[in-house]
Amino acid sequence: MGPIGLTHYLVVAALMFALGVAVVLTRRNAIAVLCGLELMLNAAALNFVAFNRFGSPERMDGQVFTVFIMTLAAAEAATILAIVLNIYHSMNTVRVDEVDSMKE
Amino acid sequence: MSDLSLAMPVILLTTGAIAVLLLFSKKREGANPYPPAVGAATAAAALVSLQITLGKLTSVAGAGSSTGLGGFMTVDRFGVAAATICLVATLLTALLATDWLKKADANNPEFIPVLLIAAAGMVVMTTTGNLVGMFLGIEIMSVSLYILSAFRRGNLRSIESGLKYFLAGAFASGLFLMGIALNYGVSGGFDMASLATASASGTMVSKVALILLLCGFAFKLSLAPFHQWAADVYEGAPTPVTGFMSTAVKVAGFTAFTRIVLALSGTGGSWLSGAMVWLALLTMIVGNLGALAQTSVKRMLAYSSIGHAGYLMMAPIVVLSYNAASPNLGVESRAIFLSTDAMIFYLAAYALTNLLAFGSLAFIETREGKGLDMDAIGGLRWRHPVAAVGLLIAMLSLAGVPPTAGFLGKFRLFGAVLDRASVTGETAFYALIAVAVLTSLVSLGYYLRVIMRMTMHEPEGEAPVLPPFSPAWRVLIAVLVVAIIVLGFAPSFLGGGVEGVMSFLRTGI
Amino acid sequence: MDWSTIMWWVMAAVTVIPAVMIVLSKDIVRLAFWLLASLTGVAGLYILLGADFLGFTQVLVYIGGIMVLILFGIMMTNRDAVLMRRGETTGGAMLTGVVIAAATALALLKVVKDTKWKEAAPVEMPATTARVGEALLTDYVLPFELVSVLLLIVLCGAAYIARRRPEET
Repeated sequence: MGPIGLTHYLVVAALMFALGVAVVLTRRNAIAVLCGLELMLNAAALNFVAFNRFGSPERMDGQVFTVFIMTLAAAEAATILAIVLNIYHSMNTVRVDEVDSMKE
Repeated sequence: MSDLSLAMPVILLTTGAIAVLLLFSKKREGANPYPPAVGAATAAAALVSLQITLGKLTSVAGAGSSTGLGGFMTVDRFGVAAATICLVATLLTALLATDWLKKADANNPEFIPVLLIAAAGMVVMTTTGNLVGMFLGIEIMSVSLYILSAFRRGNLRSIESGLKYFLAGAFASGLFLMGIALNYGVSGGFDMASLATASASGTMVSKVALILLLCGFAFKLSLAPFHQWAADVYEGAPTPVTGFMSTAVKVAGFTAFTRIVLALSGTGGSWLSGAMVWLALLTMIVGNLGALAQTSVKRMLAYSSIGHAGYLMMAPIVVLSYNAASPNLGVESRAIFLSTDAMIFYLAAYALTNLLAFGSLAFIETREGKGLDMDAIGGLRWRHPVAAVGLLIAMLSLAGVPPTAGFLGKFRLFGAVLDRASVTGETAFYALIAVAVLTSLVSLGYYLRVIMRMTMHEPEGEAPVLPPFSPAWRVLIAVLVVAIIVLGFAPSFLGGGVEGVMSFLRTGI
Repeated sequence: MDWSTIMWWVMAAVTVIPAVMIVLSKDIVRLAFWLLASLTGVAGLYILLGADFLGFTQVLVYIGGIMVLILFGIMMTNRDAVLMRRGETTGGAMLTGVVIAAATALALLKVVKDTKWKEAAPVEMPATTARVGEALLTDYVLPFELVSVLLLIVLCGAAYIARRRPEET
């Protein structure tokens, strides 16, 4: 198996990212979709940290960017959950395909 | 130039946002006209500070741009022009929203801070020369817009619009982020130069990174086939917010995208242009044909904005066609200059026009309390002459009828592409021009339908007694109408040539 | 195999297997807990990468913050369990989603395998907290402040939206 190198981390991140895409595209439950999005963001963040460690460990760019990604993920999660709560209270459902009063 | 003065517009916007939050959050409900006024004043202050920065920039001989804050802000004329349009849109949205905020169940001090933060994100997007900055700008803008779209919290459509916007937008951000990550991996950096190095190497990984970035932008700019969310979101969002989304977001998005393409041009990134040509063609066709089928004015304008995104997409394609190996580099850089300049002009014209359209619609909506289908504007000429004139000029400008700004925008943008087509002789450019002209003709059909509705369907019976106009609103509409017509003549007023719009923007609209 | 290699395999498994379970899981509460596990695995990988500050932040922000938020969201909307479960997705949409995800996975894995990545010899990473803090307050000070303000204002906006009121009109 050899020592753990950059490629190992990248494979993990690639799998996570693709699984996140699968969740986002196949789920209809808004909260499940949010979980898929978190997977995608975390996969990208893992890439940043891994590239930072193996590519340019003397600088902190990748890690700092990851801090920002976490902050933005928190902001996104708060927003979407507020919206989901609001919809639930008016419709008692959080499935995106049922929330379709727009199509005439 | 000091770092602080580069960041000044952003600092002002965030300060204004916090000030509104602190000063007005005690008074929860009821009419409160101060937050929009403070918001507009903040946007105006940011606008002024941006122009001061640009003035310093041009007074330094030979300096085309200024970079500071760890490469995070790169202020140049292109970015400042785009940021100016965004801030003008913010200012006008704050003013146009005043009336609407009073009416709908949304007169809440939170609206203005969120709007200002979105504007700060846009300023970062347009003036950054760094992929970190670009991503943060996009995200700051998007997260704020999810909230703004859902701001009529008692209205299910508005809330749904926020949800759909989130699902499309956050997915796009994920793709975009992965693209930046892969680019960081091969080049070790976040600046535009790193993108160019990676692209020049021609490796598979840089191509995948660019495809991910392109998909992310295609979602954000509602290019077909990534446009499905747009109609629902634009229809459901509060009308002033739709106006803001369909203008400022497009300005910031196209500017950021063009910045990436500018870095790629001449580095062998031309394989990407095939995909971009197809996106542009498809977007023009889908947007304009889709608009024909709509019965709601707001939805029709949503499709129309998709169509306009298709036209605008031609500018980055021209930029990407820059050929570094050409014997005549002067011609090549002229093509870049012409197309980016035409794009900025088109964006300015389009932003003013769409704000006028949505401003008029927001007015009709709040006065009549009805939806915005074609029947709602029937006989508008008799009921609200001012709104009807606003809508009339907006439709003419969107359709590209002279002497409006929209005509000149189309003329210059299509001209830049035609110029390029005759230089390179590539069929792709001729195809783009042909489809652009044909779909523009199609678009006349649905823009004229609105005008016919307004002027020809005289309402039966007594006209209802309506609340009075606010004088401020009338002045605003008049200013926009005049601005659109003046901009239609702008080059001859301002010394002509490609410098016209730049100096016009610099003096402030 | 030394202990760090073993730890890597453990953490990779803790990251990827729950991620697969998120795709397969039919119950939203389980799904949320699988996400919790997966994000914990990422925190472990950060620590193995020498990013100790990020590892702990990941635990604090994701597991302490975002996960709790998601669980609250589920709790407050879970009155009708049936509706919280997987909806009737059409076969076509499902297939498209799976095909796109598979294509993404193949493209990324191929890129990871084929690219000659710059890989410096692994060195011992010094503690990162001070260095991250220094970067945040020098080169990245503007985005740092901007993102902080964004968080504040977005939370106010979200609180506003969550308190639903029927429209007066």
